[in-house]
Amino acid sequence: MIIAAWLSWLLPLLGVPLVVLAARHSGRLGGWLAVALSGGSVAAAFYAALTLGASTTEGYTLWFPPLSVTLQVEVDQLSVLVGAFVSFVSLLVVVYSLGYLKDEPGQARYYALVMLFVGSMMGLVMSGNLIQFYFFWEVMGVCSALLIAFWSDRPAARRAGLKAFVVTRLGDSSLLVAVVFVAVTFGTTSFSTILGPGGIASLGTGTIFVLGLLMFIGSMGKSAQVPLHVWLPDAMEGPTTVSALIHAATMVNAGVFLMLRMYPMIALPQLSGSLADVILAVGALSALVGGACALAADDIKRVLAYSTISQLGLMFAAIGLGNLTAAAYQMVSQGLFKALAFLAAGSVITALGTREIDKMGGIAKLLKFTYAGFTVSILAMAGLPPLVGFWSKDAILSSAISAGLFPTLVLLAAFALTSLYGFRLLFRVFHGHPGEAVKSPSEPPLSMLVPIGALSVSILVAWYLIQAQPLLSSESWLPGPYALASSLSVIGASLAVAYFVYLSGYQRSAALIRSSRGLTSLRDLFHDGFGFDKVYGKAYDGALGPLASAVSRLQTGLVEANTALLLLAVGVLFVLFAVGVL
Amino acid sequence: MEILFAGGFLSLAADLAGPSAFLKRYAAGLVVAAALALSIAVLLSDWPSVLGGIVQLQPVKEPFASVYVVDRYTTFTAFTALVVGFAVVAYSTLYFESGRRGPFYALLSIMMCTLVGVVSAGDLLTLFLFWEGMTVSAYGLVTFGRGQLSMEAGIKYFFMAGIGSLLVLYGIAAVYFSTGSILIGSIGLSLTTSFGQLGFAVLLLGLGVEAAVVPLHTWLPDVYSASPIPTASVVSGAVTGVAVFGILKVVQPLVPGGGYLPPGLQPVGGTGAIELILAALALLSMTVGNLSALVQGNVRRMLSFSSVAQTGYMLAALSTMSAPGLVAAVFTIWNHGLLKSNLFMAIGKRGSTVEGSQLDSLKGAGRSDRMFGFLFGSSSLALMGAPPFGMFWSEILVIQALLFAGPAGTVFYLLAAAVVINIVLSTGYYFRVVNTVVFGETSGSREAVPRIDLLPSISLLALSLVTGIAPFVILGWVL
Repeated sequence: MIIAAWLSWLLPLLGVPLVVLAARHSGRLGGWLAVALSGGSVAAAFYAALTLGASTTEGYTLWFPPLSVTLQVEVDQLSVLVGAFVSFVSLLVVVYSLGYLKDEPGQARYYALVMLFVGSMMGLVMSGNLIQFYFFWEVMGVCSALLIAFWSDRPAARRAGLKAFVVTRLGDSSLLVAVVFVAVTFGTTSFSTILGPGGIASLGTGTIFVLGLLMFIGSMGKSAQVPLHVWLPDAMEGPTTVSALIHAATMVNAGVFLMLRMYPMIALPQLSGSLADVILAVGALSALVGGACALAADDIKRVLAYSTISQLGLMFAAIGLGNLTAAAYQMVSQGLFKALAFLAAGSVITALGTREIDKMGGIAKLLKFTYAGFTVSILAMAGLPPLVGFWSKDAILSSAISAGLFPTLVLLAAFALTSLYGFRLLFRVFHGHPGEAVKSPSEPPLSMLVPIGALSVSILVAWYLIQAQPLLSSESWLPGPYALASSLSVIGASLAVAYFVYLSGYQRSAALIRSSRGLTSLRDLFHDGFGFDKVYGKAYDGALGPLASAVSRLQTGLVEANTALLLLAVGVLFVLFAVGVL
Repeated sequence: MEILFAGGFLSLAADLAGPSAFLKRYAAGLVVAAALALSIAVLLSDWPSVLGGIVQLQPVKEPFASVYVVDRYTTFTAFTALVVGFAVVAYSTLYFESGRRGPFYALLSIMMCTLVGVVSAGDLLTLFLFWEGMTVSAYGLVTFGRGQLSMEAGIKYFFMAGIGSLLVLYGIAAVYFSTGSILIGSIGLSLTTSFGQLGFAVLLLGLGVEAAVVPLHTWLPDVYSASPIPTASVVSGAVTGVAVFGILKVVQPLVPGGGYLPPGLQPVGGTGAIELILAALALLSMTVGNLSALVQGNVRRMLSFSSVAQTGYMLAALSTMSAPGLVAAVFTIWNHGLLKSNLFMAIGKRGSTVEGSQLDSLKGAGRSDRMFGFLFGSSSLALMGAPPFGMFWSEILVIQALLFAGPAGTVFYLLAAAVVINIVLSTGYYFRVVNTVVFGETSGSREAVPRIDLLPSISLLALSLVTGIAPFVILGWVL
């Protein structure tokens, strides 16, 4: 079992140079080699999951001596569940890439980065300590930014890569401080030690809170939570396969995974739930903001990106509410249905040559297979029983119901938004009148259809596996009757509203929005993502930019000025000496 | 002892190099390269014996009673300088196509000798002598291009470095005045008097000119952007690092666990002020360096300001006056040296003029020359601390040193926060140049550089990769 856990991430990583060599020879060969490596990783991860006994940690070699870090794997319920799911989605996306990126230049770069990413994500999941975790966390960030900028001919793609890197690094730097603090304080970052009785629990309450907060800020960057979410919608400039794999199913979950791993710290009694409340608040806010923006976005991929922000928010809310199992299952189910949505969207984009929803419509009969896949995905996202999304979302709702009225209402609002934008997408893309981009679309090649089919089937059957074994806690996590009733009525009502607003009465509702100033400005607010980008842009233009220009003017290039600066420094020293500081 | 022998060998090689350059294109370079390779070999064979502690040597008793010290830090930094030097020499043989090259190699090998001397000096006068030698040979290398710009850069450098040397000399005099000794190890004693403390602070400041500590850094952008590429490469990779090591050298005797003080003993005299001065200079250097780099339109100037910022990180580590701080600084010298010199070599001839190294004229160069794009992109990403390259671990070590020292003073926690904010700032410009140079639209077709010209650069990047993937291999030598 433990060897399988090692193999699951070492295999893709060690394969990176081979993939480069193969892909330089022929892109197709590189692609198939990547499929083989991912396949090996899937086999290893599933073997580890199926043979899981007691939680085990195994470490080799002193990897980074100054902090006594060993290369470690930790095999427990959480890591095998997420590992199996990540490797499975990765394999499908790599297979999909064979068709999607056929004849594209730069395949060596693509497959090498994807394999590096997959290996790092699996390495992160299996990590036994925080330093190793952070190492892979950063490698993923690099891969993500470079893959967003993959189509580097487009200036927008390059800008998006830069933005993703800078914004996530903002969060990463916070995590870095937390990780090194743990290492310095305990002499180890091994999860089993720092989460044990002599670990973080022994620190002062304020220190634990700040430490937890620093880690959570890191999670917010990676998992695109408000206000560090602005990079994710722009990241859609990357290839759709990358959006599906990295920006929907796997990397964006890393922040949630970190919080799940560190949950014993969040739940420490001396914090009396303060950290959990912060996580709940940020998660709920992101769920609402993401949902609202998804309702107004007019690019099919941006809708899905905002939806991801919203769904990730639900996971954090679940963690805040203390329902870890629901959070983990929401991670898996969101990963499955969102990857499916992206792959289906990729097939639509390939067929129509546009990402704008307004130019789509009426293709349900032309792209039947894609339509079926997309519908399964949207229904699962809305939470229709018995698809995967239902179990995890309603479990979160049950926890909210027992926590109080306010969280319940917020979550129901987020659910309503989810159903609304989901059905909006379904109706506007596949139903109604054909848009201007619809000429004679055809289904994509088999290599793209097989992953869509496999993900659809997994969404239909995964609920059985999930409800069969409560993986992370022995407590019952299944949704209660109130949750079931309220969420079903929300889905029904949203479906009805979406039908009237976006399908049968679309012309009328569009005219209504145009004529009402209030509705127009609300739509613009949602469409502009609540103006976060503008605020950040202004902060740069108004503060950082001028500051940088001012500072760079210190560099006059004049010998006199340079000498004056030097003498000034000496002068300051003498003054310090004179006043007795020295 | 062996290191000095190697250093002497280098000088010898320099003499040989002069005439042979007229005979054959590669002869001079090969002689120096061989000398450097021999030094590296000697250094490596000698390394295990210095892991235990500090070895003090006095090879010549009278009349020049120079003292040398060899310990893990000096050995590692000398190794860094020699590796970078070796790569630069190899690169230079490919870079220079015509003209007199002999003096260049001679100066380069003299410089390598002085760098090793600075690193292993055991008393302040020896340090000063080699320091001056380093300055003069660097000046010669900077003006080797003979263009008006490199002359101007050289003069600025000489002027600033001259004042710096004066300050160093004054500082040495003050330390000697208050302790009666010029041995490095006696610096701890000098801090018992306030005059000695002032002398020490002035000494730091003087050393700071060469290390490009803000506000003494103003010569650096000119030198990096106007000197010949091999010079820029060796100055950025080896000289800046060794200059920071000069600061480390005078700080080391004050550090508990630094090898000079017996275990458990605190340095003599209150050193809080020195720590504060170092912390303030560190903060200034990284902030000014990064902010300035954000708005540069010239890649080489951008790289120079990023060096200023890196000096800031190293000083931040040193300001903790702790053994982890020394390790962090030495390790950063290594990682920064490899990557920065390799970036200059990768830019190579296409950026040999100021116009050629403008961001606009390098735009899309990585698209027409894939290997260059890969090298430039990877090195830039590596330099901002992205794994799996060595700099990633350096950042962790710097922050570790600061957090380790945190309980002694809140200033270190604040400095740690400043370091991470600066790291985020730096991602902005590194990624921007990657976006422009590697991924930007090409303005016209460019010729690809022959692969062999990129070989030294590839080797340095590979070393950085090894450091990142298997940090224990390299760190085993410094811990």
